[in-house]
Amino acid sequence: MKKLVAVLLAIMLLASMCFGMTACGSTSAPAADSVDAAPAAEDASGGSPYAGETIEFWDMAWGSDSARYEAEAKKIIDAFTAETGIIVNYTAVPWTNWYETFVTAVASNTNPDISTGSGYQAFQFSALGYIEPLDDVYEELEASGELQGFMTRALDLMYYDGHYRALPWMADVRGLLYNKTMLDENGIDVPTNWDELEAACVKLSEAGIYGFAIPSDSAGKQTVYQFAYNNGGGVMTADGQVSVYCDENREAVAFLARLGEKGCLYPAAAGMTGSETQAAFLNGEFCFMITTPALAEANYDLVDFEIGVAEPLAAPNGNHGGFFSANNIMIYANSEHKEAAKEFLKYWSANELPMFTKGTASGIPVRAEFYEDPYFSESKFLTMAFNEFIPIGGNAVWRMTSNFPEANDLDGLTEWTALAQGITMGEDADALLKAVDDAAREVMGQ
Amino acid sequence: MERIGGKRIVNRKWVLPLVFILPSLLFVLLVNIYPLLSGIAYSFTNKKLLGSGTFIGLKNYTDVFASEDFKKSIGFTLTFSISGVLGSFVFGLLAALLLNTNIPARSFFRSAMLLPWIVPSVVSVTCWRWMVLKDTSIINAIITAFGGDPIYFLSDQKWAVVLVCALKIWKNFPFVAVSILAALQGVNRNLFEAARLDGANSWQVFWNITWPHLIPVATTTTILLCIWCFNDFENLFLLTQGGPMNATTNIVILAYNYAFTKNSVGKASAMAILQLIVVLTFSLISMRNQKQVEE
Repeated sequence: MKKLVAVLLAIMLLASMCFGMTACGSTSAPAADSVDAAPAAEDASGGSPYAGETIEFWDMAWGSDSARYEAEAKKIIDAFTAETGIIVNYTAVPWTNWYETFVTAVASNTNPDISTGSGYQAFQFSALGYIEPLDDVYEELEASGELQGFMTRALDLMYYDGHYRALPWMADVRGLLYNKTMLDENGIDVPTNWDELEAACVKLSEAGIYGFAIPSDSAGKQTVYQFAYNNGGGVMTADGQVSVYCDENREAVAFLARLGEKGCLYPAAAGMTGSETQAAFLNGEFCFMITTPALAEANYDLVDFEIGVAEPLAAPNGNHGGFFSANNIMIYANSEHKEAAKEFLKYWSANELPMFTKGTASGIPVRAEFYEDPYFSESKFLTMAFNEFIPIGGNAVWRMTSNFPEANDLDGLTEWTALAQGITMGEDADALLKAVDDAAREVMGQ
Repeated sequence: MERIGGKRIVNRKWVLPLVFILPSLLFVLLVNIYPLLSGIAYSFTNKKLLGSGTFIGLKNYTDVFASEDFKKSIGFTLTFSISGVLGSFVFGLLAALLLNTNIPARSFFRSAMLLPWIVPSVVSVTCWRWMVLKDTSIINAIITAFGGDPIYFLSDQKWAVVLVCALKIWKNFPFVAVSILAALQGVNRNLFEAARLDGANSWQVFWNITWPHLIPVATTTTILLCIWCFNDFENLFLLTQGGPMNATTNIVILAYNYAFTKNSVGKASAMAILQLIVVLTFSLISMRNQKQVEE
């Protein structure tokens, strides 16, 4: 009997260790800094019918300087609470493992009332009934004339299965950032096409400087996206078929692999996150990087070299494309404070300008009136992003007429990161792209 | 249990202890048995993290056995576990033997040795990451100072494996050292003196006197090390996230990826079941060996 008890206890111990990662994986809140805005409620005037309600707001780490970003977020929240009496608990969510964070939260019913998130998250969750449609918010914004000031492309992306599922707040684009000082010192002009970029990287390499870097995480995937879309490629065809292994994408991946073969890729990036790679770029450790133009604006006066953003490159076939994503705010269907959350959503959307001008938000606003602010109107990088990158940008649902729920799964495939890492590490990039295609087909059931 | 007049009477001496352990027992049942049974059930379904699943028999198991990433993760899991257990044990044993002698500042070294064990992984692993991240990081600065080429530990599949194994040994050897040191303190010193008087050399003393006294502790620590290495998640995830190119993805991280990034709880559960069977088998064999040693 004692032996049996000992064996049973041993099984229970081992089972708990083995299953701790899977069956008990739910989380009540992401591991992130939390800013409690509750103290401001003490002074609240209670100007809203929902005064006194408390809502949970999870916000992704959109700022290149998280402290500055969170400080600006807290100011907006404090002002909102003072005006409405609605209390907002703010939680900053890191991008690392964002997918697991939100999927686990909704699966375990521990999601917030309102959140930002990945560009496709709202549509995946909508298909499963986790997201509150925002048609009434859109109608109010249209009636007040505010909606007319939103970027049309961003609004179109929010429509899925007969309803608006989220409200866009930030457009995310990618551009080729460069270290102009490094180029000038080596007599290199800013590249305008792939051949010139390759030649520049080779010349830098001959001078003992790494030309280009591909981060190991989702930022690396976006680097691949950038060249694929630039070449007219994409993840899906117009009729909803997976097209990861299309000729345009293969040519883009082959180009990046060629940079690696010629010793132009920064080797450490295959083990670095996007943030770490950005820091290395700002530290002058390599010359070119695909990232947000907002990084150049936010750090222009902080780095000891001249930073630049290249015009959209011309692909070998003459195409000019790029990555574009409309980041959005969504409200969860199981929220007990939906109306209070909608109040906050409208307030945040109308007052989010400081998140860009002071909070180092990584993208550019989707509301046209914000561009009248000198921060944007006087910035050549952000003006370029708005005028030149947005119109040509594509994303995972590009070429399709509407969004689709599986886009979130496609965007989160671990095979993308293996591809990004493998290119730098000199692996068979074409085979890795095929592996992404296979995984995407499995997700889509094709 | 007693039988009086045909009725079964619970022996009273069991009642009070049972009452004491009941809350803990119920808690353990809740957090252990429920996930275990859920996991077993999920492994026979196509359940996704978001949404329910249907019964699909053994398909998850056949798919898992057929997948290349599972085979690769088994290879790494074995490499990581074997090197982690052997390395931790050897270094721990050496440290214990050294700290059992009258070296200067022995108390300081005994305390300092515990640092890798007691510092939270999120702190120590982040420090390790900083030390190896780039060609200008401190480890590479040392390598290049001696004329070597920088090593991109996190960007090279082989070096990444070496790195995570080294981290595991570094974190675990203090536990082995402390356990063995405690056992060494319990060995009767007269045995060593008698052996020396009989002309035994150091190796003979160790092999014939010290080692037999260490076997029970060594067996226990080895079992625990095996389980910790086999089930490690935090160290690998914090240092490499299973990369580069899945080179440091063990079965636990693979199951995590299937559950939370591929949204396939069924396959993830099947992997966890397979892992449980392997660890359980190993543990039962080790427990039997330990009992034989004690007898």
